[in-house]
Amino acid sequence: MMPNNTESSKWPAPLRTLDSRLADVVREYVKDTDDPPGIAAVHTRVVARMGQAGPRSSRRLLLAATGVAATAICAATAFAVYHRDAALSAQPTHAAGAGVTEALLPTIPPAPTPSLAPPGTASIRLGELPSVLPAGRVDLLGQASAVLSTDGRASGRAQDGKTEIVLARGNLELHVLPRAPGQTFTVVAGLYKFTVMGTSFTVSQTRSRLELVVSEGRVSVSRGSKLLATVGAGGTWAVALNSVASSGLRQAEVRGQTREASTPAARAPGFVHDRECGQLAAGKNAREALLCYEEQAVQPGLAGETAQYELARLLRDTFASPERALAAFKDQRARFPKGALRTEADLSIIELLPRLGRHAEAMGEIEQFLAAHPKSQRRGELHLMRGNIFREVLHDLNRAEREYASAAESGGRVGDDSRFMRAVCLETLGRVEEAGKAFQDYLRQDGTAHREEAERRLEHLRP
Amino acid sequence: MNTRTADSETQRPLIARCVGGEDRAWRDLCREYCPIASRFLRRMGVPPNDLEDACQEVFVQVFRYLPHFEPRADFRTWLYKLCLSQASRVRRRRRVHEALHWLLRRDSTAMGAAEEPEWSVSMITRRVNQALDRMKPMHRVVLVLYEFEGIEGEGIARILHCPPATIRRRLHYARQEFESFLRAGTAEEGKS
Repeated sequence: MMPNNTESSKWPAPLRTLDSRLADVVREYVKDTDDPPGIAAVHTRVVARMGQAGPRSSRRLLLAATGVAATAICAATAFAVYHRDAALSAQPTHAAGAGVTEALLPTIPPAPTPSLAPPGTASIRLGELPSVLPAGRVDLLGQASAVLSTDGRASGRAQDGKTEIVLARGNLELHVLPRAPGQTFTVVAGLYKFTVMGTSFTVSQTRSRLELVVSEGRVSVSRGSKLLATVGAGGTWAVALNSVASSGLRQAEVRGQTREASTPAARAPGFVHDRECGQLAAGKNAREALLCYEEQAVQPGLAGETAQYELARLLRDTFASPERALAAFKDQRARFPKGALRTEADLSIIELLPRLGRHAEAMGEIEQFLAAHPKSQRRGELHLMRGNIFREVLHDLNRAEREYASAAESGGRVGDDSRFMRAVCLETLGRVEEAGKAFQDYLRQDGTAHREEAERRLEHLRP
Repeated sequence: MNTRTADSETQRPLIARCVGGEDRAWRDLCREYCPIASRFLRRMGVPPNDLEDACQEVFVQVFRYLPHFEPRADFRTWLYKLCLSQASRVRRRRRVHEALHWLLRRDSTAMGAAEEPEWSVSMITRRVNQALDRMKPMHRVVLVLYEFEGIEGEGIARILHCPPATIRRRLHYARQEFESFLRAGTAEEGKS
């Protein structure tokens, strides 16, 4: 019903405060998008750009720049639209890094090459031994200009035309100079390596996430000898890291011969992305998809939980292996006891157990679920399932009838089945009057699935 | 004291410092409100590739017009208004880009303009985003502000310049629309 306009002061309770599946989805979405992937890098860059632009004394300067730039914007936009593809392969320069919106801001003017740094920037010439990069803007002479976040830690070295930056944590933005053939520039973060193909890009490393944002040119991402992706201008690449990922970073630093060389290397996650697994599953490549999800499921958090859930579903639906699916769902529940997909896992377990003949366990699971989710929308379905177990397996019709009665309020097929089965139970128990009334009630409803059978049974009950 | 009043009271000195030309205040303002702006822009359908530029353009507007900002007003309300305009500009621009690409017979996804990096978001987020994309814009904005941003109905009325009763009605329909699109999306995914 449409709300009454005059009652505008009464606002409905926000969905996230309710107890329903939709509310769960809303809560999960809010949680997920409060800090979406890539957002940290966006903030850092916007704050950095605005920090450069904003405070400086005169707003007139900005307004003037905006006015002058306004005419250029149309041309620049058209240029960007028509030639953005070409920019993918264009040789990057520092000046080319400025987007259309940057034209609005008084940015630090690019210095002539080989130094890209504005005045007052720390300069470092990388050598054979690793040098620690200071936080803030730093000019890697003849190589690149970099901006390391204040909480960041990175070191770099160069040898035989090969430059390697090791990012331990934080955010590192790089504008790399064009390189001669055979010269390489790589950024190592954990077990992942980003190889620059003449570009401007940002790598962000936190405890749980490693992210690459490419502004210009291209960057290849590899792990060990395996090429994982090549990311073009405007593209991003990210990977979730588990708690041992920081140890993976230490391993990267071992190559840089830093103080932590003695730290043991730990297993690194090496995940592939959701989309790849989904594509494999959609492409009927079930075995590959299974391996893909297995690899992903090692991750912590929602990503790992989702992968584990998908893995279990694949085992159940595609491989038709209820035992393995049950084990996978139980694994998911054990690893993510408070996860977003916990309810789904519980219900899947409940559905699988009777198929494996483990009825007692199923009854226990249903009991627990109903206690934990007294208002669950699937309550009726569970009562119906319990009623079926009581009737068919345990031959306890009294209890089966009570379960069917509990499920009878539900809508749809569940309610329909429950009402019919309750009447059948009453009939079998010899409670003729009640059974007759139950069948009559059942037949009074439209579109019932067991109409003929109910009519036949009702006919038999009549004296 | 409600949250909004508390918020506007804490933001007042910061805005005064910004208007006074203090470097640090400007950074603080960006740092505090950039996450709010970018989150809201994202929920309003600005693709990840355009997010940074969109967010920056919002703050350019903030920077330009902050001296004229009424200190008693709520900064967040104003920020949401700027974000809404920006999100609509991004949508328009995308439509133009797509049209140009169609004219030039190029693959619009080659630009990466509207591509969602699906691997980087959870299944639920993807489904919700799809449902939001299918909603009417006027319903979407009310739903996002009320359900996801946690803005009260009266606050939304101020942002959208509408009577509260209108917002309430839109919220009612927005919820229905959202739920049906969400269910439809889930069902389609299930079939595929």
